Amino acid sequence: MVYVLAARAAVRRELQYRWAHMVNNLGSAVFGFVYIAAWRAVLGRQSLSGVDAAFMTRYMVVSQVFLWLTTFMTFGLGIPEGMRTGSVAADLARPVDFFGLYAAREAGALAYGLLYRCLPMAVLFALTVGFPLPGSWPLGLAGVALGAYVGLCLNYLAGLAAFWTVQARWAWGLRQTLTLVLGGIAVPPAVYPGWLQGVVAWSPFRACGAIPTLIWLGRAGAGDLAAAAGWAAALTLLARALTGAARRRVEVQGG
Amino acid sequence: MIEVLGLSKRFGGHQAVDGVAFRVEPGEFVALLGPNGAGKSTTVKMLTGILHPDAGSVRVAGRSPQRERRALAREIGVVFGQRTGLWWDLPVCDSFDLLAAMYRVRAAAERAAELRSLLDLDGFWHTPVRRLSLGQRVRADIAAALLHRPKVLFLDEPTVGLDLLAKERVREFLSGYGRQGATVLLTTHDLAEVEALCGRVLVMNGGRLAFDGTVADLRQRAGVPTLLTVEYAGEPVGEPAWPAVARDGRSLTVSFDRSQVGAGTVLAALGELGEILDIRLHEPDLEKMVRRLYLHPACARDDPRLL
Amino acid sequence: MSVLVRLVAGTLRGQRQYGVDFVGSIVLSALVTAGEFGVVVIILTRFPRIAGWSLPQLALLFGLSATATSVYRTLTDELHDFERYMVNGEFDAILLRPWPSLLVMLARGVNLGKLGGLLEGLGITAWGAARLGLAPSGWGWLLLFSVTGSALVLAIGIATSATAFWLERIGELQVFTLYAPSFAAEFPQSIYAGWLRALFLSAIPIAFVNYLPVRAMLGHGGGIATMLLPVPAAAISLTLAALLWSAGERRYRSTGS
Repeated sequence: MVYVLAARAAVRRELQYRWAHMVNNLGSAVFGFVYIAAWRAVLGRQSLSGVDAAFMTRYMVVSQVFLWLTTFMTFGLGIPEGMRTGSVAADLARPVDFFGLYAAREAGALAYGLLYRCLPMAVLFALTVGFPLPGSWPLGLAGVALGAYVGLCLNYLAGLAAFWTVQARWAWGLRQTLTLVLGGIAVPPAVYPGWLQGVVAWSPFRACGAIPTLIWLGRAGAGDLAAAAGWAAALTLLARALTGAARRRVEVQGG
Repeated sequence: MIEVLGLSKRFGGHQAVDGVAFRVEPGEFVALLGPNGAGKSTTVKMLTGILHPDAGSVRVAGRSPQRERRALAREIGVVFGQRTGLWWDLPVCDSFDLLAAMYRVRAAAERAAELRSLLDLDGFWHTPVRRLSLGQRVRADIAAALLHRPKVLFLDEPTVGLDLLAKERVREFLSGYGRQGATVLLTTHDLAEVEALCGRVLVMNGGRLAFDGTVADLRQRAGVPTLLTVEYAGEPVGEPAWPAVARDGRSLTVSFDRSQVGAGTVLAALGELGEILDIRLHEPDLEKMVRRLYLHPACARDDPRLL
Repeated sequence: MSVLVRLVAGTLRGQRQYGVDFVGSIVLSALVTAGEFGVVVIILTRFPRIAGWSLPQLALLFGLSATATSVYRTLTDELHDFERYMVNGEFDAILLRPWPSLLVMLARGVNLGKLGGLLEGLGITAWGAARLGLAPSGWGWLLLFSVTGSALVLAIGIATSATAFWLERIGELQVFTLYAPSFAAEFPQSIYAGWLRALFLSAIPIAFVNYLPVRAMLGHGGGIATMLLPVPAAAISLTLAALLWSAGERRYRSTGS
């Protein structure tokens, strides 16, 4: 199966750099420690909207570990780079689904990330500040899987921008910033001011941060999972529609 | 102008350059030959200050490339055929302005104008470097390397990948440049280039210097058989003292080793077999000789210059 | 000096010729900084202080850290990407110039597209200073801290890039030595565990960029001496980074050709 092969090639490419990635994990863990320290300093002994220092520690740890599955992906799934080198044009001509091919490649990188980024960081946190196990394994894993898929779609859409502009990095940076702020990576949305909570509730970015984290911690359930699934379906349709538009654009311009 | 003694460099477990020694006098145009991985590039990189040797001493234009890298950079010009020293996104003329400032070139405008006409850069003087053809880029790179009037020019595969016409243009310029008494060290795979330009050849193999001498010496030393074809008035009588490669009626071809015996001696001996009407001498080509040197480096070991 | 100016001008001209979208890059770099500051502001809308620091005071920390990091990124488009020079052997061409290689790398790597973050960093610092009603001398100190802070981050960046002479790949190391520390510098160091604070005072001296001098300036600890501490810290860090660089230069392997 071509998609499995594409994913396996991606895993092999990543494996060459696993030691470098361990250093990166250490740096990423420092990000987690900084957030935890900031929240402990902010909250002290108080609790706000069900959020206290102990909860925030668990929230940050889970959020930081799964960031590698839901948010940190190859720039535009490699589409902008492929536009530059011409491999995108070749991929468009292949008798396989374009979105499926790029998603499969990234899925390979994510599978690697699960083993060599998430797992070591979870162990590192478990040894220092603790790493919580999910309240419900099926729900928790489903939340993370949906988060990864939504993240994949969002990164793909940002990458597609390369068909219309040279500066796809722009779309990518926008996605990154929106995921950070609206996704609830660093701040649980419950703490947000009311108006912002409304924005968050209606954004897909939440599916990459707050939803999987809260489900893992047992603070959210099937309802939020359904919302994430809805976003996954909607973004899949959007990705397919825009792939068609991108394909037509290339055909008109002759590659 | 270049003095190298006991030069050695090791990468991990691999001895890339192993005790290389040679001198290049001012005004010499020297070729550095050798198969891939022979240590040519590593040697050139140590001469130009890019790499630091593990052992040995190097002087180029009276300076140590390692201790006085920046001062030496003003005295040498370097062209790597595979890469450009120009500003990729800028027009050619801008690169020359920047290099003139960087090297503090005296009378830079005149010098640039001179090189422009010598290397025929006028057609693309205002074109960004990334839009040049390879031949144009190499010419611009050579001009750029000469802008600060270097005492020594290092050329590393300058014509690799060029078509015949472009190669010829570069070769023509270099030949003229060499005739003015410039000192040049040329690394190349193109043996026609060596024959056309270089008075002297250094051959490296396995990190060592396998040969140092003129192209004529190389022919002698390599011991690649020379072929001599003789046309007789009638059918020759008797067997030649050297192996006959072909014998067809009145024509006879023998092969002999120039390092063992001179062509005159062979010809005189063949004259014993009959009346000679015509002769043709087939010199072995340089390529064959060098390949033989790579395979049997020992055949050049007795060269007194290597001591 | 004039040569340096011309080299930088050449670099900028090249970027323009290549069609680098300046407005886009500037907006992008501003966007990322804005997102990070947004998180701090959101936290501070619900909680008045972090470890005793009010929002305008935190703005000084955040602004100085963002300024220093942006100055580093404005100067080091090439240096930050130094592993490419190692992997492809592109550093050869740099060593053939009659100039210190570090200077050539910096001159090649000026990228004004990163100015967005710099302007924003300066803006946030100025906003904090205005809200605190700082005297002119206070503004002067902040200017000094911006310069010394930039020099410190630059030194950390040079040292990180220099490790490429040994390790070849540095992209992942930069997360540990640059990204995480400059993020950590957005908050008061007092909230961190002891080992992290020790790290930020020694091997990755990010505490000198903003926390120590600003704390002294606000009268929370240390006097003029502490406020001047970033000057020798920056000088020492730059010297050590340059030494590491030239040690690395000597063992450059020039592969990939």
